[in-house]
Amino acid sequence: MARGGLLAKLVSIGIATRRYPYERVEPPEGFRGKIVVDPQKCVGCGACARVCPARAISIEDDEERGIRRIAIFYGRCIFCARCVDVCPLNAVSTTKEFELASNESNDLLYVVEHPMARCILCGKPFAPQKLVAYVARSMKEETRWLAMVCPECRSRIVAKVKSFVGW
Amino acid sequence: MVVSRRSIWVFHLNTGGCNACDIEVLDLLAPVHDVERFGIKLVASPRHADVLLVTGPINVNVFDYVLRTLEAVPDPKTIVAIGSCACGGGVWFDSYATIGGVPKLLEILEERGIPKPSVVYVPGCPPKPEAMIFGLAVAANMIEKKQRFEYVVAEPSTEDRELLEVLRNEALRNLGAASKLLRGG
Repeated sequence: MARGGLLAKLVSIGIATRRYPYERVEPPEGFRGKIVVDPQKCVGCGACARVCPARAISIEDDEERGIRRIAIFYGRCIFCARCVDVCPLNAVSTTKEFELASNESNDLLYVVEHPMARCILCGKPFAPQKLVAYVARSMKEETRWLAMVCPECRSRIVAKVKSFVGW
Repeated sequence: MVVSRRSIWVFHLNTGGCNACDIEVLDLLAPVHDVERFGIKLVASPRHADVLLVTGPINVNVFDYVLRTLEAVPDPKTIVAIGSCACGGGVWFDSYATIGGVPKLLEILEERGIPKPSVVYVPGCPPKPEAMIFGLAVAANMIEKKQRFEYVVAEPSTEDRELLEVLRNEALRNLGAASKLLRGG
């Protein structure tokens, strides 16, 4: 290319620099940004915490207060969106938000708290109320009350009750 | 917070990362993003720097060098933690070979009585160059940060509550019928 041609090309391209902080930049289609949870849809099953490669989603049960606490720490999130794939209720989704910079690590936390159902026999909180309701809907009509019993009590009583009630 | 109103000079320190963040940092200096329009430039010595740009989860082997580099940066100094490794350890947060990112580094500094520098976290794996510019702008007080702590309580819907009430009654009825047997043993 002749020298004049190159100069003409550069002039025709103009300024390549994006004026980013002063103008909005739209990420491309399919960009995996900040993970958000829809608290209406979430049942607190913890599948996302199980599958998270970086353990950015943690799940812990507070037995005294009777709540399950699901916390997303964006500082450790690698934005792989496996939680989005695995969520049975499509409650987790990605957004195109990428401006997550902050000067406090506490700002990078997103906490969802689920009130838990208590076992009808021992009174121990064992699963989120929404999860119990979700599971009970897929159970048989005559045995679904067992969803209100915690796994330990269930294994203790079920054989006896089964022989008595006759199913 | 931070930095002066003058140009921010940055020393880039890879502490055992996979180089993805470092390649994105190089993107910042290319014409499309061109951080030199803010006066931000990479310098070759930590003694010239205002900001320490940390990438990687801080390996045990480089930890000593990180401390020495941090010492060499003149006050007031800022750490900009780039990527999820630096922000919280990433996938290696509980590995024996890393100390687990800048938050753990700050804990160690506090234990040893070294004054803590201010920190800006830029999550992403790797973060977009725009996200890094945003982080540097937050560090320079040019822009208000967007990310805040969020806390939601997922209350069960009224349908769920009704179903749970029905289940409770069913359970009590069934257990009542079976209680004789349970007591009998």
